[in-house]
This record gives sequence, C-alpha cells and structure tokens, in this order.
Amino acid sequence: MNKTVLGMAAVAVILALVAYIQGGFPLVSSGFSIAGQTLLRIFPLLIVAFIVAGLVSILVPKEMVSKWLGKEAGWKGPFVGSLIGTLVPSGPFFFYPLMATLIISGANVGTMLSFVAAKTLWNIARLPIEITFVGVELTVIRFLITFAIPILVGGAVNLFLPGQSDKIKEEVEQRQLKKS
Amino acid sequence: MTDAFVVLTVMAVGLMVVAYRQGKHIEGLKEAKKMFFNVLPLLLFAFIIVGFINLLVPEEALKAWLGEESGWKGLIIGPAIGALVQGGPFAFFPLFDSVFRDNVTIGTAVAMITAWGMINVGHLPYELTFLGPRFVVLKYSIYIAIPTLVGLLANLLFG
Repeated sequence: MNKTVLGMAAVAVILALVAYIQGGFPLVSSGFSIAGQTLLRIFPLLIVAFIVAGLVSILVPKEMVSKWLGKEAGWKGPFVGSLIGTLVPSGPFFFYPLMATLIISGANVGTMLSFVAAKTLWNIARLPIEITFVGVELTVIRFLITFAIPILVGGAVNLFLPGQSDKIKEEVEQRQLKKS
Repeated sequence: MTDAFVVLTVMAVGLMVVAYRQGKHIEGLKEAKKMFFNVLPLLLFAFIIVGFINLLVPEEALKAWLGEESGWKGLIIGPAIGALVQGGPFAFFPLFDSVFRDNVTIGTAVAMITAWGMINVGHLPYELTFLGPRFVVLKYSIYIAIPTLVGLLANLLFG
C-alpha cells in the first residue's frame, strides 16, 4: 500500500516537474487546479460509489459470487461477467474497487477481465453519448467487431491461466483488507 | 455525470433498504468508510496525475500525430492516442468528433475508440491501487494488441 502511494507520488512529482519545465509555475498550478476541479466534481459521486461498494461487499454472499463469477460458474462466468460489465454505470473510481470486492469474494480473474472489457467496450450508459458524437454507423460497426472480445478474453484466461486467480486474489487482499 | 450520480444513488438507496432489512446497514456503511479512507491518499495522487496528463497532452499535439496520410500507421498511432486521452466519454467523444473523425479510416477510428476504453492509461492508477501489479501486467499483456487487431478487421470488412 505505502509503496503504491510512494510510486504514484513520484509519478505526480515527475509530471509536475515536466509541467514546470514547459510552462513554469502557472502550468504547475493549473495542473493542480484541474486535479482539484476534477476531485470536487467527482466527490459526491465518489461518496455514493463507495457506499454502493461497501454495501455490496457486505450484502452479496460469497457463495453467490463464486456460483456466478467464480470457479463453479465454469464457462458461464465470462458471460455473466460481461453482462454485469455492460450494465454497471460510472467510472474507474467505482468499478475497480467493485472488481476488488468481487475478487476477494471469489470471482475468477478471467471473469473479471470479461467484466472490465465489457464495461469499457459495451457499456450501455455510454452508448447515447457515443452515438451523439461518433454517429450510428461507426458505433454499430465498432460494436459488431468488438462484440465477442469480452467473452473470448475472459474465457481464454480462465481456461489457460487458472492459477492467476489465487495469486491476484492474494495481492488484492493485501491491499484492501489491511487493517486501517 | 448527472446520470451516473442518479443511477448510483438509486443503487445505494436500494442496497441500503435491503441492508437495513437484514440489519447490516451500519456494517455496510462502516465497510464503505474503511474502503474510502484506505484509498483516499491514492485517489488524491490519482487525480493529480490525471490532471497533469490532461494538461501535458494537448489537443494540438494529438492532431499533429495523426494526419490523413498516416495509412496503416494509423492502426498503431490511433490506439496509442486513444489510450492517452483523458477525461471520460464526455471529453473523449467530442474530441474524437471534432479532431479525428474526418481524418481517419474506419479501422483507425475503431482502434482508437477501443483503445481509449480498454487500455486507457488514466485507469492505471486506479488499477494499481485496487487490484495490484500482477493484475495490471496480465490485463495489459492480453489487451494491448486488441485495438489494432479489431481496427484491421474493421478496415478489411467495412473499409
């Protein structure tokens, strides 16, 4: 956890330095002000998102997760994962914590890769704005061509790399269940 | 953004009702609070990083990298640019519409949109924070070639 904080702080400092070299203090401060504005804008959403994630982690029984998304789900896992990914709203500050919660509860990593691929490729909440700016024809072509991908990647990982699930679950547990 | 807030609020209220009936609502909120404060420092840095990426990768530079004449290179450069653009769908799709749509092939467009979703660098801080390096390596080693491949397919089938 601390290592990750340090690593990200280092990246932030490097980016701030690059901004300083390119535009001096004004550019650095506008970087921070964009960060601050983003944070303020997203903050209410963030609070609700964490309430949802917290309640999900308490309410969703582990047996149910492993039945639908874990080893017991077998070939159905990637399909269910893709379907949930298509339906779940909101941004990365919500669905990555949700994935962590599901992995701890026993979801397979391949199934989670199906979930995140579907979330970022097919999400229905994004569809209206994509159609608005990209147009119906190109949106339909993109959906047709990427349609099978979430199921294929998840299925392939569950099939060929089954050992990854436990190792990744360990890493996620170290991150999230650490006593605060 | 407003839509997401409404949907999440409805989900939160629904889950609260279910949790209250099971007497687990306090436990759930405590879990939410614990998760939130555990990741708060990371989130703050994540927002700073996203802010600077936003600032340092300007629209004009993106436009310069992808001319009409880029040809097959568009299938490599297109997804690379898609992966770099930050700010969510309300930033990306208008940018795509105003800058790229008329200058790229169908394949490059499909590759770029796919990369923006699947291998977006702005997701990295969140992925590292919540899921760890092993997941990130696994995901990106599988996902990295997909945008170019689907772009190629789009060019072959619809180009």
